Amino acid sequence: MSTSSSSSKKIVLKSADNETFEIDEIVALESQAIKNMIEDECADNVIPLGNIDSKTLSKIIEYCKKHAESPKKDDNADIDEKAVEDLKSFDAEFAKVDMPLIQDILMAANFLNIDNLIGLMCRTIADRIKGKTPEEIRKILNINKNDLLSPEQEAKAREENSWAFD
Amino acid sequence: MLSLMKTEGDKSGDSSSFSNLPDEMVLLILREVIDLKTLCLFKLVCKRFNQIVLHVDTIFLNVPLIENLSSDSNTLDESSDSFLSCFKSLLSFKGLKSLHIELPPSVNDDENGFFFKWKFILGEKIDFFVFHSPNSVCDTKENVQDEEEDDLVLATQKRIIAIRCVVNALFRRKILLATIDTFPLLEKISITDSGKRGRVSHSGEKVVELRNGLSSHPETLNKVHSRLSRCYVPLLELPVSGYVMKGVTLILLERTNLGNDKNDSSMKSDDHYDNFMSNYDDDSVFEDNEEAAYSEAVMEIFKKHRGRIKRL
Repeated sequence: MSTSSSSSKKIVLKSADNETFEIDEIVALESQAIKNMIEDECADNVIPLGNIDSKTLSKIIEYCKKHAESPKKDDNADIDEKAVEDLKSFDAEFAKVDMPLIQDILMAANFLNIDNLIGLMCRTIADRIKGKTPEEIRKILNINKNDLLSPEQEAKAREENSWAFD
Repeated sequence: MLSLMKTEGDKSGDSSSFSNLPDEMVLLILREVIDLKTLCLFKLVCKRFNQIVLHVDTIFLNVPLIENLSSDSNTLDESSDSFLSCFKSLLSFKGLKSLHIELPPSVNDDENGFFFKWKFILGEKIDFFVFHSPNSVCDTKENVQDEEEDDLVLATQKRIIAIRCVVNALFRRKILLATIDTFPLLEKISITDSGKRGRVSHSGEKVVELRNGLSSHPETLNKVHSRLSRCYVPLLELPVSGYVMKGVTLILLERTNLGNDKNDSSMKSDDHYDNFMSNYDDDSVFEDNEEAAYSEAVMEIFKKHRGRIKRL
């Protein structure tokens, strides 16, 4: 992993498949969960993330790096618009991945408590299912057959919302 | 050391990752969608969507115009029918906090080709309907020509449109009150039509006020206004907002004889006007400039053109 400044404190994250990622502490602090651990001084040098695989984790680190080095919105009102635009287009590019990975990132972001990333993933999923039929949505999200409504439930839902299905 | 190991559900990959998503994440996804029609479709996707979608608390309802062949071209009946069928779906969203309703356009709005705008303001005892036309909002006084009266044909046309708008306004009032009454957690509601005309919008304390008013006087919901007054002002200058409105019609719809409050009927119109003016001074917080301008228009008419107000 490349680092931007060699003097800053490092944190090592270990994925479920035992890959380690050394990152600047400032990047790790994007995760509220890790931040809490560090503040409570219960973080070791190596933080094992037993339910996040290396593919997901490297994506998350990519996101945190970018966001850590961008000026924060609430810091001051007059951050230049270019930085905001830059971050926006980064987010848009970042979200161009397949649905299983998006769901994995969402799960991990929830676990690591990274609010912005949770929001980004939720918006991405929502955008992909908007305007689709229930059948298409099931396919997109890979929803299990045994999670479907019973015929009676489905008939009831259709009847109650008939105006929406023309 | 604290381990961030999760006990259940090791990621084997063969079960769909969707079923691993916690409910609160699914809700966050569904909350990104505010369109009621889309949310209703979501109810069919799977059991979890069907349940979790009901917790969405910010909804946009775009009321489609349902063609009703049996009724003649009465716009209000059609939008009323359309609205009711959507409203039924809305009822299951019990925790609704914010609602934006967009009604179908009133078919007649543009047929005469001239510009008009209107605004309905819910008051304590009087509701106000302000209508102005044509080309009547200008930023500066210079743009306004002489204070001419409209010719008779135009004046009649305008009056007919104004009356249609009153009918639309009363329909919005009913929707607004019924919605506030139905959803106890509702904090914000706005109603427009797709032409962005006649926006009725309330939030925060005003919604609480209206809700409390409804619980002490439930008959308000269906009560037809018992006294109407009308006032026409050819040219109305609004010093605070800087607007000049041309061809303003103000219609005052008084709700008298509410409950057992005998004082109401003895209260003179002037008292109502003064009441409004003092309220206006007290809370002059408006959603936007337009909102402020309309309230100011009512104020100005009370201040300077009270003599023109005629009981209908």
